[in-house]
Amino acid sequence: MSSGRIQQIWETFVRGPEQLKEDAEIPLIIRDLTPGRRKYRMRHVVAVISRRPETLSDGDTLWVRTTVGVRLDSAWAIKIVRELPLDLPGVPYRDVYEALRKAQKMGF
Amino acid sequence: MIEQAVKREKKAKGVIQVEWKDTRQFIDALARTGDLTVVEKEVHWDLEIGAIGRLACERQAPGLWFKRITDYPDCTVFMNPLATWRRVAIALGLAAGSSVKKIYREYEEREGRLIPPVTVSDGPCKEIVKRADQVDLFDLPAPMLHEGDGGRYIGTWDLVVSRDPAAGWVNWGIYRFMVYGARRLTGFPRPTSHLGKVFLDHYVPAARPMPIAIVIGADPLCHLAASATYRLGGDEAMLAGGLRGSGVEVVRCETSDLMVPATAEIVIEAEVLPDAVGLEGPYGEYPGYRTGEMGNGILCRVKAVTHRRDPILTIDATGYMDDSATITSMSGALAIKRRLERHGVPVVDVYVPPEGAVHAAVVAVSRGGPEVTRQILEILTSRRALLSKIFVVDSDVDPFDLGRVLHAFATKCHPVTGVHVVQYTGRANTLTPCYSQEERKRQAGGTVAFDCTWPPGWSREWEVPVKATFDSIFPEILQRKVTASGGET
Repeated sequence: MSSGRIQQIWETFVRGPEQLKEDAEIPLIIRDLTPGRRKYRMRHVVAVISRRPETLSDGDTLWVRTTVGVRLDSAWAIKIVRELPLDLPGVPYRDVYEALRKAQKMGF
Repeated sequence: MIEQAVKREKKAKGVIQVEWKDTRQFIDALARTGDLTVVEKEVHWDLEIGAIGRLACERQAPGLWFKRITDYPDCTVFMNPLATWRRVAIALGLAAGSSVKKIYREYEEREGRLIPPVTVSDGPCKEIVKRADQVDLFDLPAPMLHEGDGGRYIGTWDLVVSRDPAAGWVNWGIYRFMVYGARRLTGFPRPTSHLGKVFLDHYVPAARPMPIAIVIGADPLCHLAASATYRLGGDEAMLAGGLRGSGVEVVRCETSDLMVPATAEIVIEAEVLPDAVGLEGPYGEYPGYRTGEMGNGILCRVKAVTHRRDPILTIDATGYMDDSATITSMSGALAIKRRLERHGVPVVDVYVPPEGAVHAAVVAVSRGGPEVTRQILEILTSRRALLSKIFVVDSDVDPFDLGRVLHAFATKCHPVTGVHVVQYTGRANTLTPCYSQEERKRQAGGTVAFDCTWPPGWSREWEVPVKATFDSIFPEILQRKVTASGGET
């Protein structure tokens, strides 16, 4: 049964498939694919994702792109749990995903 | 309405003075020479502009001025300003059909004449001023240029102003920037770039944000100067003055004491954060590939945006044969030539062919051989190693004639003793497509130099093969006779 909520479409970039852990809260950098002027605005979030959309009730759609920008064939489902800061504490020129994991652990 | 461009060339004391005041006059000049296509139909900022611009680069087609952008009725987009030699020639005030060699020589001559900028109290770039909460980067039609890029790139045909706080030296450079949020940008000036080096040496250790100004749509020669492979400490604003034949008018930023070209279309005033990061990339870059360079950049907080009324966003459709193929190649070639001269290499000329995506250079020398080739290789990879292939040819080979260069490579480069390789870590070009992700992480790579010269020890009389070309293997008197008769004796 539909909850009446409008499903949103997000997209994420990952360095490898190991970053896509299912059934656990993971940190992600996602971008909003809603058409209009603000399309592609970025968010840092903690979320739960699944390969099987039916397992995440009220989930949104998540497309996954690789490090060279190739979009994987199948969409995932995503449920955003909480927001992480857009100014992610970290060292310039160092890996942003490491900073993202630290931010999640620090409980932002 | 944009007034008719006023472009005059003054040949006073042999100096060409190009009277470009701004992008708008340059656009008008391109229209007059047939080097501009005005696109009146509506196009979308999300991929459509990028696709049209990309095709134009690959076809060496005219520059593009998009007049109607979906979602953005108040802004137009000018694309690929200097992506053909014709447009570079026009920007320099030369005839549109000037040869590449002529353009190189003109740039080389003007590069030696530095003219300081002129400070003014106001300028068109201040017609609209937005500060703090008024700023929304989504008010500008930053395009999604390639399908699968990390974001919407607003800084592609820009010049970024920054200052070394210790030396006071001001740097202009072209660096990519991606819209991250309403007041956030991520960027990737390489850590080995002048901006990256100053930021890492002076601001990160002190935990201080670094003020920058991202200038979009200044006059084309300012961007040419910013793209120059210029020495650390070199003043690109003065170089721009030299290229123009008159000082660039600059005006102070709203939120810092940085000075920016007063006639620019858009100025984004920001600070690079020393203690925060965001995702940057991947991006289809000038080598012609999206290599996977992602997530190792910098994050900027935008403090103000100033722009002209009806601003023109200038964009480079980055990729194969983009704007860097002409201007970065040319300034890079001349920087290589000067550097080799300083080190006593008997260099005659250097050409960086546009098709080589600033990865390959041809160096012509008056005396070659393995020692000279090795010396060239070491000099050109000692600090930043952006080149991966170097062809060293004798001076009887025109480095601008790639057919002749390939002939020399195929016939004179010894497959065993003529190939010289150097490997390095910490200074490789992380955008070079042939490197693995692991090599990219370590900035590890290599450069190969092909010695396409005769060994200096070979006797001209007994050992050096005689070139079997018209101008080498026949007596001059016969050459004259044959050419005088048009080849029909």
